[in-house]
Amino acid sequence: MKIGMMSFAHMHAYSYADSLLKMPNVELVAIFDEDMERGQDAAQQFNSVHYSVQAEFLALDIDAVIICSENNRHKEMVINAAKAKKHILCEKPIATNLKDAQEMIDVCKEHEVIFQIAYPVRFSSPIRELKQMIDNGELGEIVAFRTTNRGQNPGGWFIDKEQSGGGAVLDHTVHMVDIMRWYLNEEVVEVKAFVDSYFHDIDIDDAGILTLEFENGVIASHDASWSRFAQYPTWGDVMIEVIGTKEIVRVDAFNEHIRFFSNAKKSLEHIFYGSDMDSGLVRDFVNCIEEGREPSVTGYDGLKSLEVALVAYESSEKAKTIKL
Amino acid sequence: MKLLYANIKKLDVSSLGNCSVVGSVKEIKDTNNEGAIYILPVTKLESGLPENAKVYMPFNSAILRNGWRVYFDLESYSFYQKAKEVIEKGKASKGVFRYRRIIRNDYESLVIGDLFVLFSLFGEPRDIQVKITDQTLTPAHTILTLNFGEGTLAHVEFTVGADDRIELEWSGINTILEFDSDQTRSIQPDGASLRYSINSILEKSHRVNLELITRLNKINELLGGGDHS
Repeated sequence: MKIGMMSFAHMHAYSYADSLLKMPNVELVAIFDEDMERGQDAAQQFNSVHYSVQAEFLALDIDAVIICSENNRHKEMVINAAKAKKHILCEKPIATNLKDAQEMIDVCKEHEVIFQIAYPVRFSSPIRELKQMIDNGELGEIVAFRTTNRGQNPGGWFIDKEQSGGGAVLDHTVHMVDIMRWYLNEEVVEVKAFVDSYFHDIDIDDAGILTLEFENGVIASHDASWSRFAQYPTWGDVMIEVIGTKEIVRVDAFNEHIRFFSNAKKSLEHIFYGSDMDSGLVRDFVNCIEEGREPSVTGYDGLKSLEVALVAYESSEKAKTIKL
Repeated sequence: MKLLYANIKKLDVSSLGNCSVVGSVKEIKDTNNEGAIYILPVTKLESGLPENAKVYMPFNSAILRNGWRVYFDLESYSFYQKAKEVIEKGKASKGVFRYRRIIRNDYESLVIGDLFVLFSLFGEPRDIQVKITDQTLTPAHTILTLNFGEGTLAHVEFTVGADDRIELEWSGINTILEFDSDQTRSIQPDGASLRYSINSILEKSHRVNLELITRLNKINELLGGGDHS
């Protein structure tokens, strides 16, 4: 299978490209990036060919593309790729507004291409194990969730609202809302949130606390932030606790680590040895194309999780609980 | 003379010092010794306490009398006093506070008491939302979303569970404070990490008066659920 990468603006592009190289049935044939230096470097690193003109790249004989651009460029790239009949794996969030997200879904459907959203957390081993436990009824009926997704400030275009569409709350809410929707098969119907810039001197939010209610009455807390700093032992966390009538189970997707102490800038470092969720995501995308099946994470999944993040901003601005 | 009523098993034995543990007030010989501290089981509350006695009662005892001193569970732990010191040092800056507690017994009074203590630390919240799980299902879980203003947000959560556990986290600018009672057991596997410090009880207890009762009643009303500001 021939796959191309569209933009290395998002750091996940490097790990997705690395994952592609590990797959024997996949060839990373081309890299499109308008940033010449970044594109050429990536092409060299991953032994591929760099293109700086999107139309030339999309004219190539490629089965699928992985889009890792700035958030506000997802729409343009997805629509162009769909029209060029390429299957698409698009980095999250799907878009910066719901109208664009819906248009992207519609265009992909019209051109009969697979449109998958990159939610790698769904491919973390402990997260999947917990899903299995829930589906087997081991936790009983779910009554509440507690979730956190805290990390470091990525800087660059992430803190430019025009390009990112939002800060930490957008960046780190969509993952966990997606996981909760997936575990519960229900939609969020109510959001209360406080969003602010707390940890960095930046003009975009870097922290938010959200309280959600799902259609079936399940309640959830979510803490999204860029509160971790360089000296903290780990990048951050992706934690979900499921409170069920039979059992309470907590999973942190990044908890499998060894502790390493040194007299360097970071005196304690957590060295992660757990499952490679990015590889799981990319492998699933490739399998999905080969098998001609619906993607595991659809454009609609991307839209619904985006909706919750956007409503969190609205709730905070209006200082009230918002019903969806 | 100080009469400290407590669940004796909850007390940190190393903090007993010169305190005397007695089964009943009747066992106290010298009732005129002002400096003496007697620890009594909270289950053995008697009438006719010596008039000069300063009485310390846990909030969850359900008996509070004007002039007595009441102590709250959370404030009686050494870890909390240490955490409070650190948070107060950095309180001028913004931050996010997260508190999670699993409670085996006395759910309602512990929730009210914890909120009283946390509101004393961060101030009265300007905006509160209280979400409670379906009352027909167990375990009960409560989420409080709090905006204290002045740059402090908090999520405070309580769950009824099989064992007691407290976790808290304060994320400030380039500082993160974390505590998990499950990770701080000195004796593994069954040692208790949630034990009261007698000094904390004596120093941090509150005089029972109308103002205190009014504040506690207000917190109790909040827990009915919904948005408050």
